[in-house]
Amino acid sequence: MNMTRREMLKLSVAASAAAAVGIPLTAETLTPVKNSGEIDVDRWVKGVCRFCGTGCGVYIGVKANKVVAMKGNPEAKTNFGYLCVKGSMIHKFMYHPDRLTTPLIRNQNGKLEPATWDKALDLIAKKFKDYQTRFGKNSVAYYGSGQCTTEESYTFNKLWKGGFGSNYVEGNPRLCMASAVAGYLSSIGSDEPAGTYADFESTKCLFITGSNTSEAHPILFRRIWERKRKDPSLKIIVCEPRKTKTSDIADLWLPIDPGTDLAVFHSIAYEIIKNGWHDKAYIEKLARITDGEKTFTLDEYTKHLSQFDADAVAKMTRCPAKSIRQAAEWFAKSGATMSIWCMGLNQRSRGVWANNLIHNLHLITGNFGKPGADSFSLTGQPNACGGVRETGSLSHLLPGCRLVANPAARAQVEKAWNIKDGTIDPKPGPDTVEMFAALGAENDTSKPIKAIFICTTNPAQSMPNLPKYLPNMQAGFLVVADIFPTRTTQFADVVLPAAFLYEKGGVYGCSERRSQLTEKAVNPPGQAKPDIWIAAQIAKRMGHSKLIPWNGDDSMKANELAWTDYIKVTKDTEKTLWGATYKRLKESKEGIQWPCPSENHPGTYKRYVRGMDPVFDMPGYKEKIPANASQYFYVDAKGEGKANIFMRAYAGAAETPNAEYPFFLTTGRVVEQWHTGTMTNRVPEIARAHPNAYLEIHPTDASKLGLKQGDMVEVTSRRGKNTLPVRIVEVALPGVLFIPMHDQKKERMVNFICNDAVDGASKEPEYKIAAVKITRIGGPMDVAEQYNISDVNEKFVF
Amino acid sequence: MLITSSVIEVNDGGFAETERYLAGLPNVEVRGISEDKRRILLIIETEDGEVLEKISAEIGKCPGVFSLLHHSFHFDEDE
Ligand code: SF4
Repeated sequence: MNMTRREMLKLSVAASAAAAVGIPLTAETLTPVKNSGEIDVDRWVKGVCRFCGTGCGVYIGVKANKVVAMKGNPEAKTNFGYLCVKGSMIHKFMYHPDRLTTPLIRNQNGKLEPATWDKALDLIAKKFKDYQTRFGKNSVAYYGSGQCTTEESYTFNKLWKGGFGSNYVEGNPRLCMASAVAGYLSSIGSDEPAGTYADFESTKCLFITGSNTSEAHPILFRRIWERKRKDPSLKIIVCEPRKTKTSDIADLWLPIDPGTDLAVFHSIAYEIIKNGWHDKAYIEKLARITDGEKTFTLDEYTKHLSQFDADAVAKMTRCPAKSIRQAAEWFAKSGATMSIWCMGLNQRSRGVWANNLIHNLHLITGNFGKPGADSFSLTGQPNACGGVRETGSLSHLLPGCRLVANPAARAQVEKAWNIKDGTIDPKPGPDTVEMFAALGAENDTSKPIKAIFICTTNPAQSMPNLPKYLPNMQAGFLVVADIFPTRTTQFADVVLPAAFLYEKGGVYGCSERRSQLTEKAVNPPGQAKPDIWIAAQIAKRMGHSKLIPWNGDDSMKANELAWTDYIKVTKDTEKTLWGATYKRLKESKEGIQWPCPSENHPGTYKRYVRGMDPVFDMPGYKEKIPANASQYFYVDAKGEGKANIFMRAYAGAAETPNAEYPFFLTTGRVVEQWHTGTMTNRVPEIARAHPNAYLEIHPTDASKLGLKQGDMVEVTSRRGKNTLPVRIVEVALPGVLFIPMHDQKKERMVNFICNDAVDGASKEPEYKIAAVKITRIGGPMDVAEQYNISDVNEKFVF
Repeated sequence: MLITSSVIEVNDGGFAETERYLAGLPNVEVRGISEDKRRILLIIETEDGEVLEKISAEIGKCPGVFSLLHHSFHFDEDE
């Protein structure tokens, strides 16, 4: 059967609706998605979805060297063949006429004009060398992405830290996952979850907080929904300020004012201990109660928690005391509880504490290290875990998530990279917010960073508090590699046309420690090139071809060399992928979950459990694990095999409503669009389904302000404003507003409003909470523009 | 052309009747059924919003139908 355009559209509409409302598609509808024989293609190439951190396995349909169709991989352990609307429509934007196909250099008149690769790369190398000579090695920074492949991030990281001796390496996971990283490191001792998605099938109680899973991770939501349907005894608790589709399947919704959830988590812990539902033996054997310096007894911890009595917390948070007590009982007594969370906890000025408090609940109830029991952070991007966290492509990290400040870790990496002792700078570089604050013009002595290489990300739209950082991007020397013109290319001095994932191949590592390989399916359009080639060419021009020898034209060969280098460097860490050779990843239909220390190891379902986790038998670890320990936190910095129950204080948001700014504003995704919309908004069906941002407001607030459906309002924070239509719906609590984050139109870019206050430990900004005011400026207006930046020389007037 | 995804909530024991009823309606395709047979996912293809309204009213007449909710609308002008 040749699928008509109309049928494809209907299929995608059905798939989107099915994912959103949690109804499985009928066999006839699924057939074109799951059965390779039905769609007219020359071949199907194995790969991974380009979008969210779920890591759905796909097959890419190729006809006449063009990608013409997508279908889910039924053998993939992440999605079992299902795809959401975004994943099933990737091929629809790959050939959009706006694709960048030639390098561009900004001329004397401020216009971007086409150039050859040699000219563009020579200019970049010359400028970078010049800045490094005049202003020092740290005057040139790298800003990458959780959407680059692992091989690309690893290559740029190696070039900067091992080649330039500079830790001025950051990536957009700082803006989404850094609090989860710091939470795992401080509570458990090692980044990333102990368990996997498979725990969804055995959990008895699922605690979802800070995640609108139904829209941000629709295929995981489908999996959860199916589990609930098969076993209605599964208790689902959802804690968030908006009653979204995710809450529809919940047995219990814990409404909260933004930023007050820390009190609710403490209160749940208090109820658990007060009622004797905690696991005393687990706490004694495998946990210590600490504030990060001193240790405390359980009695002292209970006393600390007693200030969070449910009745008192109900007043602070708007979460009913009865619901807190019920949640505590289900969490502790279910037999196996799993928590999942995402940006609602991470993008906060107390994101690390929020993460710690979730881990606390698991540690005090022993809900760890057994099937269905885990504290599991969901990732927003497809390769934030594999590409950035695991390769250590942040300013304080080295491959294997080791710290640059640790002399032993630096020595290990220097040895593996075969570079001189002392090459790696012991001082961590700046975090993302600091980096963009320090970027500026050559003659600006207050700005030490003069140039930045931005790869596969769009900070001129995605940074919070944009009015503060846009002038810096305009002033500094910006090199931007991307597939489409974006808000960031509007500031670029050099734009490099990048190959799309399916035009170059590479590995992505998703939320559940699973690395999956995408094969190159087709050639890139025009002169577009893989980012790994771009990195290697810059390395070559700057005298580092020995460090980055994979500078040939064959992207899969370069990928393999980079990957093999990477797994060698991380071989002896608990994140080892030594057994996940490129050959094996190519052959595998489901990828491999680390730790995987040898080629005959199947990959790991559960960490820290003897018999499941191969690290128990790895040299360097096994010597310190007692022979009789069935569960052991071998990553404990104190060497006692324990995790930390953190005695944290309470702190609300950095900014809360007052008389002038009386509303909370929060932001997030909608199911159809993704991030800054530069890809998804170029799919007509998606753009039509979600053409513009809007302000979601509760009917009570709307009526107080005399607002009618569709009225235009100005939403203003202390930093900036948006002008957009209102959507009056009973989703968020009264007093809480929501704007989706995907619109590229300046007037509706929510990051003009968002707060750049950061978490003190993770340095992740508080996107999720701002105080704002609303002013009605008129009646309904048609703003369904489906706006994209098509002209590379269109100016960004801000 | 308007393509709409919609969800029907079915009354207790009303699934078979609703399924039969829907089969008799033009431009209505059943694309998903919840395992407990309490919800049906439809795709409705119509010329415009007015026709959609008429079809929606028709669906509402079926005794097995508890409610009809539209999920998304796609305007497709280029085929
Ligand atoms: S759920 Fe995420 S990974 Fe899966 S198809 Fe959708 S966007 Fe892609």
